[in-house]
Amino acid sequence: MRRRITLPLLTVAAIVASFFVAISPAQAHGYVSSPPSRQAMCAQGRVADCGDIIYEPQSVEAPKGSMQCNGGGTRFAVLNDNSRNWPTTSVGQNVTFSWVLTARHATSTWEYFVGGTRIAVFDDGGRQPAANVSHNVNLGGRTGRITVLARWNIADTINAFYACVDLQVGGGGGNPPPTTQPPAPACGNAWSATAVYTAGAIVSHNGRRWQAQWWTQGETPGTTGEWGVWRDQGACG
Amino acid sequence: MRVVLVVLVFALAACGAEATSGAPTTAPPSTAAAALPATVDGAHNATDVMFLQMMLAHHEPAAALLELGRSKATRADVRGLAGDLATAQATETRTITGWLESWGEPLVSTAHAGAHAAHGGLPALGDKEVAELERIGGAEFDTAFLNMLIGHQHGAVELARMEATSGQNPQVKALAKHTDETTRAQIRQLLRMVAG
Repeated sequence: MRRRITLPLLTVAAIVASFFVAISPAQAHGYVSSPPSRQAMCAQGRVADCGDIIYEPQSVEAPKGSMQCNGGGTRFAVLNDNSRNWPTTSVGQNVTFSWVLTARHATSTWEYFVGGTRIAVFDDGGRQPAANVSHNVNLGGRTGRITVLARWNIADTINAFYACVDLQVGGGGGNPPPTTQPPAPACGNAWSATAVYTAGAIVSHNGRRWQAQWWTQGETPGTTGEWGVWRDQGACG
Repeated sequence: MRVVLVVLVFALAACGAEATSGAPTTAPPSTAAAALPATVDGAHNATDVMFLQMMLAHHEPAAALLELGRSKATRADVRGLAGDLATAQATETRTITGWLESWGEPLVSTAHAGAHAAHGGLPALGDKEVAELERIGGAEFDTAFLNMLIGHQHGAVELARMEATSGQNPQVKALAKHTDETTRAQIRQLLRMVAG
């Protein structure tokens, strides 16, 4: 009985809370997730020893106008360090940049730069962005390894959010899907509840590849726990 | 018996979340989850209460988002992860509710919601945003869903780190440590999914 009363209250409170947060200027945060920006590379563990950025890749905030990957602020200098050999994403001439936003603050512009030259700008006119933001940007015939600096300029603060994206640009047009990761491993045959599997056997189940660690029969992959018989080898295709 | 069941369910859900995290670099957070009791010691401060209340407020709007992802994503791994997260969050919601009730604290803060925003806050994730997402189809849906979910999960990390710094109750701080580690493991996997 008690829970029946509290749940509606919770719903109301959540709506009220999101209303207040939506208008709170302290909560404008975000970064480019695809192709992965440098902070996204750190947060997903593809680049190690990044420091505090792994806790808050959305917080690369600094006054507007910088051309540095960390926005010229006092934090996250690792993002400026080109000696880190940042992984690149292979793309064509047209690239769709998509963002993770942890709050959607009124926006003046989104800008994209390569080597100090602005190659694209999207003017939101001070509006609140949609929950999902992505921009299609043409790289203007550039090829090879380039670093794109993305800037999200907030309308009513002095600050912007910064994200550098390292790309390997092929010659072709179009917009092929990013290929930053090695192709997914091949799926094995579908798991069968009645089959006997021995150590090393590979099966697919729910779109993922699983390897048996020892003899097993009738144990469903994904239900045996981290130290159980089926080891998750990731998505497969 | 009821206490035992709650602990068991919580541990199982945590195992499920870990199994999909694919994070090789962290210690198994399921260990920390299994140690979390269904009841909580009495001594606590205002941050402990606020953290628990805000975790409830964090999970509540995520349920609709996760349900949409579970039913509509084109990729099987995205659907699977959405289902696992929904289960884990529902279980955690029950545990947290029990802790707050045992303290006699409200499940919803009596303080101004705006004050919470300064301590990590929550992204705006309401019916309107979920409805907009529902209109997107195909592979674009997967990208949009993952980006919204990542943004939402960053909020949980911020809350957990607030509790780790300013909380008092050891059990609530253990929950915060668990939340920090498991949520960042989820974010690692979600970012890899959205990148490829």
